Amino acid sequence: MKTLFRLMAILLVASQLLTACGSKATAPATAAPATAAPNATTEPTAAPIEKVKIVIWTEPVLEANRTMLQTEFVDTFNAAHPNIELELQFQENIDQVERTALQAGSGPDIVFTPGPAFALEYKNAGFILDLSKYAEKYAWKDKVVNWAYDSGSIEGSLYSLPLTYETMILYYNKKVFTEKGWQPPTSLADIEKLCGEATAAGLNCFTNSNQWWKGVNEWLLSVVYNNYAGADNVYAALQGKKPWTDPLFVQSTQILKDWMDKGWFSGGIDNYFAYNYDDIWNNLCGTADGKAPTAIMNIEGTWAFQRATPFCKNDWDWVELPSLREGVKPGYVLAIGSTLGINAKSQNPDASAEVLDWLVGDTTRAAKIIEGFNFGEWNVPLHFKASDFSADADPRLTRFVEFFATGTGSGNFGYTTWTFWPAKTDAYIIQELDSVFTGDLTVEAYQQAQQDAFQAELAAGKVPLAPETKSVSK
Amino acid sequence: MKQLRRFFFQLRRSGLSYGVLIILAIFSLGPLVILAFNSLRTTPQISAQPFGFPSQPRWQNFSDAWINGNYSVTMQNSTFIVVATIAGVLVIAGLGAYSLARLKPRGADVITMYLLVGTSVPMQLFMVPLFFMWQKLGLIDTLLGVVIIYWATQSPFATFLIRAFMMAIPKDFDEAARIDGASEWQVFTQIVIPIVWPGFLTAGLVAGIGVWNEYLIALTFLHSPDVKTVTTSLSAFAGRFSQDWGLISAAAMIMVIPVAIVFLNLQRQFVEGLTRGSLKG
Amino acid sequence: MAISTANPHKQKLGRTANSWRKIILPYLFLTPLFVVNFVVILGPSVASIFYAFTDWSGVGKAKFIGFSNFVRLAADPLYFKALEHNLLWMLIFLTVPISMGLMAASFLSSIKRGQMLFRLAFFFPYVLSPTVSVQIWRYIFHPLYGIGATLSNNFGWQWANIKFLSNTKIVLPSIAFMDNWQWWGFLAILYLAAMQAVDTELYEAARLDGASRWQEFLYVTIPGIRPTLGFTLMMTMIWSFLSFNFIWLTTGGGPAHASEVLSTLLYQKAFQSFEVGYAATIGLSMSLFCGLVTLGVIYLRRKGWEV
Repeated sequence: MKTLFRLMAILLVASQLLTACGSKATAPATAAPATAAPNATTEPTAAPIEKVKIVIWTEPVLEANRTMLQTEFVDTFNAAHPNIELELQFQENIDQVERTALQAGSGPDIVFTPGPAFALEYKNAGFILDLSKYAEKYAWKDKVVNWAYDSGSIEGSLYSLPLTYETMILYYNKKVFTEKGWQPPTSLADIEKLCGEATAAGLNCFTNSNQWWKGVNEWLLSVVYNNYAGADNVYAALQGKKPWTDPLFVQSTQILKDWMDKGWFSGGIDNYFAYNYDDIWNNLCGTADGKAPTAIMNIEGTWAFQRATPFCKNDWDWVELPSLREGVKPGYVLAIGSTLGINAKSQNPDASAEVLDWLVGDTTRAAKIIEGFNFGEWNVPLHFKASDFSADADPRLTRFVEFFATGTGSGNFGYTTWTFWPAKTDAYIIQELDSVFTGDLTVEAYQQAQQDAFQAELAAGKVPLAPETKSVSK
Repeated sequence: MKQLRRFFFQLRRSGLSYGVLIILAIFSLGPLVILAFNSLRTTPQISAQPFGFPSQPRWQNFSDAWINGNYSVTMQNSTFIVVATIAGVLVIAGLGAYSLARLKPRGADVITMYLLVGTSVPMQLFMVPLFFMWQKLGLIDTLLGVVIIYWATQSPFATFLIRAFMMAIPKDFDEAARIDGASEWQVFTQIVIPIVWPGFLTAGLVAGIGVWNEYLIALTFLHSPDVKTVTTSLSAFAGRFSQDWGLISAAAMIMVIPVAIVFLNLQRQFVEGLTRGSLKG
Repeated sequence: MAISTANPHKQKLGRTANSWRKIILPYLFLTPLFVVNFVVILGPSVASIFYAFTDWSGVGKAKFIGFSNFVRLAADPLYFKALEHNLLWMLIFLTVPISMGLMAASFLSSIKRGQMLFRLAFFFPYVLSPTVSVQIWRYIFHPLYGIGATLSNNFGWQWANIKFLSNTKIVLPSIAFMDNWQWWGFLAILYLAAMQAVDTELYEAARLDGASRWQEFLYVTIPGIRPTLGFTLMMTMIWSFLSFNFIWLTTGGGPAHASEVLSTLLYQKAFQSFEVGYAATIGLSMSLFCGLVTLGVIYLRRKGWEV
């Protein structure tokens, strides 16, 4: 027993000593230390200022980006607002942890949600505040792009501001394409030809896998629904005017099943269920130690911009996802990746609103953060101009901002499931596509189940607001 | 004569014994050796040769892992949690085990069954109402809040373990003491505990390890960076966006080493206690 | 002990002292256990039972819906698939680690030198966090640079390129293998300790009677460690219904529910599908199964088995 205590003591002392070397600053580098009393610290200046602490929770980001956010967002805010101390906390499993906290009446001042459907749910449960008065005070309607602002509004009142907008695109290995004399596909026929040739050459067509993130299933489904069935049909279905069992939607899902059976997704289900995120990109562009790429394209969202250049250097490029059916115009699907709202139980809603305004108020500052993320995250949908971005921003990325703005600005856009579908239906889509792939569930049954779930949620008023697309398919 | 026969017996047996044991040992330790090797290699090296030896050990992996995983803070937190949990559990379980083993409370069977059922309630089930209650009591985001939960989750098993040890010793000594007029408390503290303390040690070890490695409760009830534990450090690494095997392995090694040291020392005492503590003769 | 009838007072005191000793004192010793248990586990669990009769989504109000959840459970193919997996898990864990543990303990108790080293080797994986173990084995089972891929790349053994964690047929046994790697050593040490408490004279007697090693094991060792063995069998059965960490950390119950067990289903329903009421129902069923095992054990105990 004595030995046990002695050992514990040694361990404690050792860790104290090691704390001295290499302790990471986890709180923002402001005057008040993170473990100090949360609500009021006085500054040693002539006039004592009451500091209010605001906590914001967000998803974890890559290490380098944490420092960037700290400098460009938190420190700049704290410097401009001496009476508010902002602290950014990264939470793993943020959905679950935050939900539990909110249910218990606690949680951060600024609430992060992975999309408007969740925000709607939180609003219905009374967890987040109606932001109307702040929206008016800060004129957010003018600062944020229309369709993004609307998706955070419920019955005319704003509840959440978009933090990250994204869309789905097609990444491809430019180097391999050039070597083989291939062109990026612009139709379903192109894809089938291309994938046929790729498979013959021993390469996988798409490098997708959902081992690391089940949600990959809904990326693929969003793409086929919009690019095969057509964005206007999707809109009709979201209004309840078309069932999800409509042949167009059944055929859309069938396309995914066919591609999977042909081994076009990383070579088949065993691999689709196996590769992690690093593997996917290594497969697309080869590894650092010289292994050749084993796949040629990747259907993923613009958040992957952050990864593309580190993994692929100059070998990558992107195109719009092609239309998969005659008469369907290709376009970009809209996605709000994450939103921010204010906790109804926050002690300092006004200060929290200040923080939100700091986020959307200034296009130059927002552009800096976006560039820091390589356009992958925190790209708030504001009215950007080319001049907001620095001269040495990657042309592939500025090209994206431009095309996306003009494309969606003219009303030609589609809908992603994680932004515009109600929560339960969305969860079903993600969970059970696997079973369709393994053959345990028929496509018809899968669609029927979606329809049933959707009907229930539609009746309960849980479907988020969707802007009407001007895209028309024949 | 008997001695000689036994000697030859042993010799024949030991060949087979050692053979099997060595294979099992390789099974147990092999993967850890791989982990240790990987903790000193870089990602390109690992990808080129997945099961290789680190020819140029990259010690920097450890300091990188230490800093990125915020181990200086999480180590202290985890250590505190473990020590506090063990202390509480041994007291709670020791008292309870003594009662069940020696004092024959009314309805002992019901109590036993209840405890067993108690260990079988899935944690995910009572987590939400528990969180709500803890929030009212101001115990969220505190190490103490989590320690109390662990007392409740670890005590039933510890009680059974210690009770088993207690039931295995004959009642002669404590009966003798009772006849001499000792109170139950005296019998408990001065006679029974000294004999079954290997049981306490084992129970403490099981509870301590269980808590050091615990994931779900730590993740849900501890949010601020300054109260997080060692397990959450590691899963932060192996998060969905990055799999630097070298760093992850180094981070894992950091978690493993202190436990290894404690265990190495306790092991000896544990066995000594067992062999020394028999009531024979 | 003769009780003097001369002093009725003393008699009464004796009886009170007796009831103190017999009734109150045992419960006094049990109080700390009860207190933490009720506050942390019983209270919230009862609250959760209440949730099983509602359609609570985890957020907002909980509406009473009677037995709907239970009816749904009884007809849910996914639930039965998960239950099947739990039973398979139990089968694996009742056989593999226990026999490995017994074997290792038996051999260990017979050798003179190196016992310490082996004990350390076997027990060590047990002290690791599941997060660590999962990382180690994820690496070893990796489709691109794990053992399968390495063997098939370096030696051309295509058959070795098994997708341990993504092939729906073998993913659950693979995870069980990972968990077993961590668990069996603990059993070995436990059994060793129990074996060392067995009276060596019994072994002497057996050897004199000409018993072979196997017979010694069967007729002296096993009966000698019966309480411990029984205890581990029982806990294994109970814990099989609750297994969560390894499965969740490795595959989350996937792919396509191939490794789904009751606890992962519960977790997914409670925190991802927003069906906390239904999740509570699943939880109750899990407790029911554990309760059945416990009842079985108590029944056996009444019959005289020492567990």
